[in-house]
Amino acid sequence: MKKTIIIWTIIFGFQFVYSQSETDSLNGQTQKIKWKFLALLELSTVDFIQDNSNETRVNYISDASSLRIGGSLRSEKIFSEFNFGIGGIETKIKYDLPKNKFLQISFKTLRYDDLDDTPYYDNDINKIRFNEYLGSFGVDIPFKNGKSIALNVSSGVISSNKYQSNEYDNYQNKKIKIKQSAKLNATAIYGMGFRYDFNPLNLYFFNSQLKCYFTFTYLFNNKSNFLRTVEVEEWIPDNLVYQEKTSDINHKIRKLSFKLVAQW
Amino acid sequence: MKSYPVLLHLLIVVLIQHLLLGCQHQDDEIQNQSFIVTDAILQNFTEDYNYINKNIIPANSYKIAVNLATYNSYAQSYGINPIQQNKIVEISIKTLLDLKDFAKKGETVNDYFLVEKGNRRELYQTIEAFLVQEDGKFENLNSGKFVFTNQDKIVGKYNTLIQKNDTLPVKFFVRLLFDDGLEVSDTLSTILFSNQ
Repeated sequence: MKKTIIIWTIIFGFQFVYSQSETDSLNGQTQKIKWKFLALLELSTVDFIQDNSNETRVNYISDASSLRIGGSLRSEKIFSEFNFGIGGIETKIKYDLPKNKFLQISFKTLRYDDLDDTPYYDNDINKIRFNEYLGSFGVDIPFKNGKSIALNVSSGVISSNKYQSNEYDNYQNKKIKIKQSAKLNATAIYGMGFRYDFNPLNLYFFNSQLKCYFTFTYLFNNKSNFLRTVEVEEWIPDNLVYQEKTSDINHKIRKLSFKLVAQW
Repeated sequence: MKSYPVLLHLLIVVLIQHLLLGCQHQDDEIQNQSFIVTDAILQNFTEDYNYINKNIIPANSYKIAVNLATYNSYAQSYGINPIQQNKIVEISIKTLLDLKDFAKKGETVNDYFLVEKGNRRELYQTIEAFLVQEDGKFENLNSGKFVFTNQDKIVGKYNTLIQKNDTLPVKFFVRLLFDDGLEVSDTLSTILFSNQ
């Protein structure tokens, strides 16, 4: 986690310095760099789909929602965004090409921990880690009233790690502990995204600074590289009574995410 | 006559001091965070509410409850960080009746029991592991249990002691030895049966 933060800070810093030098080179025509704060809510899920002959089974691998704050930086051709907060951290750089086309790269990690350690109740563990590295190419379609939509095609690599541990007992003496893990090794993924920009307060306030956009991304791959394990312990720790490991490389994965961002 | 008020004052001070000390004498024992276990009560126990307070218990829910007693129950009940000063160093459970072919009268049957440390939902410990890894201490005074497994072995292939539609009278002699020399023992008897 520390390592990722450091890497992303460097990338963001580099981007900042780069955009500074760009303004200097303009020499006289001072191009303003616009800073904005942002807050966002993201809902994201990764599913693993088993297509059998007569039924389709969907195992959810990761399902994380995240609330984050951050900043964005706009220069003439480059738009960058960095945000962090509850459950995740993300950085994004968008480079504008002529004729409203753009290129974009983004790095994102989401994490979700449910470590319930309440005495007298239980000590179940549920941990999810999720990483995404994505590159996109797209086109902006602006409208007259400040609204715009953007469409893009994306491809990249995702990986995910889920670990769950539960202990069960009943009025009988026997106790069991079930440990499950689902690891998605780095897998290529591709798909498309949609983005809609709007100014929600323009109806009420003249020249409002608040701008919002939402994005919806759909990514998929017909092959995946999953490693799933199940272990059952009985009575005492380390007394393994059941173990199963499967490596599923020919099942579909699907990733959906929805993000709502407010900037001011 | 000049010294009269001085004597009176002295008298009053001494009287009040004695009165105060007299009232205080109950509080002389300062109740601090450390406590010493002084006794233990061993009982037949089951969580199957159909058989609570009956002398017949399903074998798959039979436990021996260990209720420890201490003079400083405040530390254990309300203390922020209660410290048990003496710990259990030896546990022995002997059968006083033949357990079919599995154990003869007088043999130690520690292997058929596991330790439940507290009320948390976690796996049990073997008696040896409890004494070594868990330091011979339960989570609470009343939370310790010896859990009857109804199996002659925990790891690997096992035989069931009390099988389907089977009934067996049992009599266990349980002895706990603490590191400060305290020794508690009791004989428990009940009838175990299998309702599975």
